[in-house]
Amino acid sequence: MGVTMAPAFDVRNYSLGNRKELIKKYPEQAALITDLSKEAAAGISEDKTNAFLNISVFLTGFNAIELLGTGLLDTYYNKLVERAMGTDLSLFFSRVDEVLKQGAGNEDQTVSLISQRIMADPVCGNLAKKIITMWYLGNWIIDADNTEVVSGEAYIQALVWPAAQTHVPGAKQPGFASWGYSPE
Amino acid sequence: MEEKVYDVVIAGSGISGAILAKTLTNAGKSVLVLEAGLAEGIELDGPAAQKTYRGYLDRYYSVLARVPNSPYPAIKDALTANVLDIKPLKPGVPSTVGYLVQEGPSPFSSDCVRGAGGTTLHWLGTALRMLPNDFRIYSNYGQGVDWPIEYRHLEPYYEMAENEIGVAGEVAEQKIPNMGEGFFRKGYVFPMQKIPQSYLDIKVKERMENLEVQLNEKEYTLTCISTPQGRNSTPNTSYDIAGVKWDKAAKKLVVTKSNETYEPVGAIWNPHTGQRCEGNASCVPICPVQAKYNALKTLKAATRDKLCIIPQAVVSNLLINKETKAIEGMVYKVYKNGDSSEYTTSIAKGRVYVLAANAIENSKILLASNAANSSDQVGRNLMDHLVLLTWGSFPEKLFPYRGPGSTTNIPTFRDGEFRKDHAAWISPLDNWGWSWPTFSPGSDVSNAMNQNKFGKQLRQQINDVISRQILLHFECEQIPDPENRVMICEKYKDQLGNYLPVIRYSVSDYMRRSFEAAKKVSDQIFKACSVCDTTSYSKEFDPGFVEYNGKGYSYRGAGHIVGTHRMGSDKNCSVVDTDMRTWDHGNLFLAGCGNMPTLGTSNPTLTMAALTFKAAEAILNQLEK
Amino acid sequence: MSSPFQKSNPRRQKLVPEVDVLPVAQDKFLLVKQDELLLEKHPKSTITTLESLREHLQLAIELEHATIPPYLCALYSIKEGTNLVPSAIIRSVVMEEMLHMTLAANMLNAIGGSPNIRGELFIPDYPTYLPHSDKAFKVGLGKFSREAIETFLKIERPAATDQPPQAHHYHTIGQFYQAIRIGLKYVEANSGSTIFTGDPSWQITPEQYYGGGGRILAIRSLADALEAVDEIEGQGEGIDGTINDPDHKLFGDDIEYAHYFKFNEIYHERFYTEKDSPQSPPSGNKIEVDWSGVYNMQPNPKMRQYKKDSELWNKSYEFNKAYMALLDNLHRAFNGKPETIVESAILMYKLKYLAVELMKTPVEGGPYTAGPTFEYV
Repeated sequence: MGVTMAPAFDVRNYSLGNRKELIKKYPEQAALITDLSKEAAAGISEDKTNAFLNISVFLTGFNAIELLGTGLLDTYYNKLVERAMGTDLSLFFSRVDEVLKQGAGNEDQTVSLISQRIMADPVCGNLAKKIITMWYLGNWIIDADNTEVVSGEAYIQALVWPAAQTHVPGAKQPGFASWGYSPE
Repeated sequence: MEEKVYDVVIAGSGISGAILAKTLTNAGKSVLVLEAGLAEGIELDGPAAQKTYRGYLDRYYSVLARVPNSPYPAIKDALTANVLDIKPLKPGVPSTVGYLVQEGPSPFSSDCVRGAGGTTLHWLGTALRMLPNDFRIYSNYGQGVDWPIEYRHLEPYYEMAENEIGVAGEVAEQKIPNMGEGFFRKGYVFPMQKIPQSYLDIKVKERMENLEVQLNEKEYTLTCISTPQGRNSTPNTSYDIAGVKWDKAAKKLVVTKSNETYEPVGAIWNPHTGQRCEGNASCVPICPVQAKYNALKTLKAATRDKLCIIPQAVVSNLLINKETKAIEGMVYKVYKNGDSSEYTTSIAKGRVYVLAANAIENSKILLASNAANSSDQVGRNLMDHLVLLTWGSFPEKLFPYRGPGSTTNIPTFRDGEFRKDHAAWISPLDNWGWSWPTFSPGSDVSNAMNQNKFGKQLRQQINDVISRQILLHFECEQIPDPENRVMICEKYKDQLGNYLPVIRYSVSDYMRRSFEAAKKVSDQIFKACSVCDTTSYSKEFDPGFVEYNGKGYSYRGAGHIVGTHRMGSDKNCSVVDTDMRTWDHGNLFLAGCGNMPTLGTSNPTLTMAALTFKAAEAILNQLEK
Repeated sequence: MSSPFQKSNPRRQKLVPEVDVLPVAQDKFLLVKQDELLLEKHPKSTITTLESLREHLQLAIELEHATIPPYLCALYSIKEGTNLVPSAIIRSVVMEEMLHMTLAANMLNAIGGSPNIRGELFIPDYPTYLPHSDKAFKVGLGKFSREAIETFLKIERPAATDQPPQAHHYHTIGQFYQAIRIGLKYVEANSGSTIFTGDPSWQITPEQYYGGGGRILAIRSLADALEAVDEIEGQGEGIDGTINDPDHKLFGDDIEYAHYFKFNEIYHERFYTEKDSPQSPPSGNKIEVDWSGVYNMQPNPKMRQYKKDSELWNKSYEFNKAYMALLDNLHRAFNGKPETIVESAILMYKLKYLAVELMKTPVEGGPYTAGPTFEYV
C-alpha cells in the first residue's frame, strides 16, 4: 500500500503473536502492522541470532557446536522473538550485549555478570529461564500454568538428556545392549 | 441383503482378539473382527502401516504430557480411559471428567488403548507366568477365590503364548518362591536370550543381592533376577518351537517344532526393522521400531483371506434368542470419522461369538445386553495391580533412562504365608528414574530454574541429580472384591448412544497392609544401599492417596484391568467355564483379562494370552462338532 | 536358461546368471568345463593360489567397506521424517554391504586368513576410485541427491554375460566376485586336502547378526563359501541387464531386488512392477522423493579445512575417533572375538548421531554445512 503512518500504539509493547489482535484493533493500520519485520515488531533493531547463540552457550553450559548440532537455533530464536514481549526482548538483548562485551571472553567474569545482571533481574531472568527451558526440554513456558511443546523435533533435541548422559526417550536410540554398559 | 454368517465374530483386535483371529483362520475358519479404533490403525503392511505408526510417533513427540495413551488418537466416538483424567475423588460426587465415570471411593487408576492392537501398543512387555499358588489363594491363604484350573493345566498354553509374543528371557535364572519342580518343562528355553540387564541393575544388585530384610518378625532374603519380556533379543539357538497348529484329529492345538533358528518378528511395515531392542527407552507408550511385541504382528500373521476386519466399528450389544438363549447377532455401530456422532448400525452374524474388547468393554456390552449374567458377577471383581512407588538418590551414578523400562525384578514377595495378612507383590527395578512419580526430568529442570541455576553449574546439577535417580516399584496383587465393579447407567452415555463405564472401587485394608509392608521393605533396601530417600505421598495432589495406621501411601494403577467376567467351576458365582464359554449362552465366549479370577503378581497379558489359546481350542472343537 | 534368481533363495535376484548349466548336485563344487574355458581365455583374471585368494577376500572386505561411507552420508543427510522410502532403501543397501563385509571376513577366516580392518590404508581418501577397479569413475562423500544416486547406480551396475570374471581392473563388482567364486573352486580342488582350515570359533554366526541385509553364514567348507558368494552376488549388482526373461517374474512385492534396481527406483521415483523389465525404468506407483529434504552437506569435507582445536575441528575429530572405534571393534570381532560384534551396532548409532550433528552445523562463509569426514585419526 505504501502509506506510512505512525501507528497509534507502540509496537514494542506487543509480542509478535499479538499481530492478529493488533490488526483487529487497528484495521486501518493492517498493512503497516503486517509489514513490520519480526525484529521491528519485537522491538529490537536487528537480527540477534548470533547474540542469542552466544548467550545460550553461557545459559545452558553447552558449547556452540553442541547447540548448533541440534539444528534448532533458528527455531528457538524465532520462538523467542514471536512469544516474548517486545519491551522485554529489547531489554534482554541490550543487557546481553552489555554483559558479553564487558565479559570480553573471560569465562568466569561473564558468568558472574550474567548472574548479577541477567539471572537476578526479574525481566531478563525470566526470559533467560524460558530460553534455558527451550534448550533443555524443547518446551516454551507461556506462564506459570501453561507450557507448550515447541515442536516434535525440539522434544527430540532436548539437551536435558545428554546432560544426564543418556538420550531422549523414543529417539536417538543407542542400540541393542548399550544400556548394559556405563555411558562413560 | 443377506448378511454373511462367519464362523466366528470377534469384538476387538487387541492381543486376545488377534490370537483368536490368527489361530482360527489358520485352522481354516472364517473370522470377522470388529475394531472400535480408526481405520488407519488396521493397516498391517508396508508404507501404509508405517505411515500410521509414524503418525503415532509424531504425536508422541509433539504432545506435552507423554502418558501411556499419548501417541494414540483420542476418538470421541470410541473413548477410552486416560490417566490424565484421574483426579482425587470427592466423596459422594462421581467424577465425569473422563471416559470412566468414577463413583469411588477410590479412583480406578489404570488406562488402556482402544484401537487396533489394543493395549499391547503401549504395554511395557513384561511377560511373566503366574505362580502355582496364585491359582489357589483361597485354599492356601483364605483370600479371594481359587481358579477352577491349576498352573499345570495352563502350562502348555503358556509356551504357546511365549512363542506368539516372542519372549526373551533366561529360564535358568527364574528362581521364584514356591515355583515348584516342573514349573518350566524340562529343557524349555524362551525363544530369545534375555534382554541384557541394565547398568543400573548391575549397580543396584551389587549392593542388595542377598540382602536380608525383616518383615513382621520374619526374615526374607532378597534376590534380583532378569525379567522375561516380549521384546526382541538374540535368538536362542536351542529354542525349537515354530508355532501353533490345530490338530484336527487330536482335537487340540499343538506346537510345531522347527530346526531353524528362531527369527525375531520385526516391525509390521518392514521385517528387518526392530529385530532387536535398540534402547529407545520409550516402551511405554510406544516402541518406535516395534522391537516390542504388539498384537498387530499377530493379526498380520493370520490367514488373511479368511479374515475380515471392520474398523471404526463399536459393538454396542448382543442379540439373544429368547428361547434358546443363543446369541443371534452382534450389533455394532460404524462411525464416520471419530468425532462425527454420525454412524450406521449393522448386525454381525456368526456361528460363535467372542467378546475380546478388554475387561471393561466386555462387561459394558454384556450388561447392556443383559447377557451372561445369571451369576450377577458381570462387571464385578474388578482388579488392578496397585503400585506403590518409592524413590531416592543413589550414592553413585546409575545412569537411568536407558534401555527398556525394566530388565530385572525382585521376586521375593511374590508368594508366601504373609498372603494371609497382606497382598503379595513383585518389585521390578525400574530403569526410568523418577519420571513416573515426579515428572522428572522436567521437574528437575524447573527446580533448577527456581534456584536460578544456569550454565555449567546447571548442567552439572542436572547430571548429578538425574544420573543417580533410583525408583523402586511394588506391584501389589489386588484381591477380588465383588463391590469393585463396572456398571452401566442410563444417565451416562457417549455421543453414539453407547454406555460409559461406571466404576465403583475401593482399596481394602488387605491392600493397605501391603503398602505398609512394602514401604518397610523399601526402607531397608534404601538403607542398605545408602540411598537418600525422597519418597513423598501427597493427600492433596495424589488421586490414589490412602491412609493406614496413621501413615499415608499413594497407589498408582499398573494398567492391569482384570476380573470382570471371571472363570469358575460353579455357574452361580462365575461368568465363564474353563473353556471361556459363558455359562448362559452356548455360543458366546469371552476373552481377555476379564476371565481371570485372581491376578497374582505377574502382568496379566501372558496369562490372558495363554487362556486365549485355550479358548481358541475350545472354539475350534465346538465348530467342528 | 538358468534362473535369474538365487538357488538358495528363489525370491532374490542374482548377480549374474550361473555360467555352468549343469545340475547342482553333480557339479556345484567342481570346476566345470566353462570355468576352465574362461580361465584359458582370461588368465589375468584367475586366482590360482591360496595366498592370492586370501588377498582378494581382504580386497572384497575393503571394497564393501569403501562403498559404505558414501551410502551413509547420503542416508544421514536426509532430514528425519522426509523421504521415508528412499531412506529405507538406502539403509537396506547399507545393511547388505555390511553383511557382505562380514561374509567376506568369515570366508577369509575360514581359509586361515586374518581380516585386517585397521590401518590408514584401509580407509579411502574420498573422492576415490573403488579399490582395484578400472578407474572408470570416482566415489565421494556427499548429500542425498540425483548425482549421488547416479554414482551409486554406477557402483552397482549389473555385469553383462559377455564380461569376464575379473579380479583386477574389473569393470563391475560382479566380475570381481565371479573371479573369487572360480578361485575358491580352483584352489580347493588343487589344494591336496582342503583350504578351509580356519578356527570355526572365529566365525560370526547367524544369531549374532540382525537388522536385515540377509543371512549370515558361518563358513566351514567350500559349499558354505560358495553359498556366501551366492548371497553376496544375489544382492549385489543385479540381474544381467541384457536378459529379458518372459518366464520369470523379475519384479514384484515379494521379490528382493538387487542394489542397482533399488537405486533405480529412487532415481526414477517409481516402484518396479511385475510387468517391468530390467532394461527400462520402473513404471509402478510413485515414490515420494523430496530431493530438497536434505542437509546441505559440503561434498568430501576434510578435517584440515578447520582450524585445529576449533570447535568444529574437535567435533569432526570426535566423529573420526568414533569411526576408528567402530573399525577397531570390527577388527576384533573378525579376529577371534565374534561376540564383540554386538558393540558394533552401538558404535554405528553413535556414528550416526555425530554425523547428523555435523550436518546441521553451518560452515563459515558458505552455503554448506559440515559433515562426517571419515578420516583416519
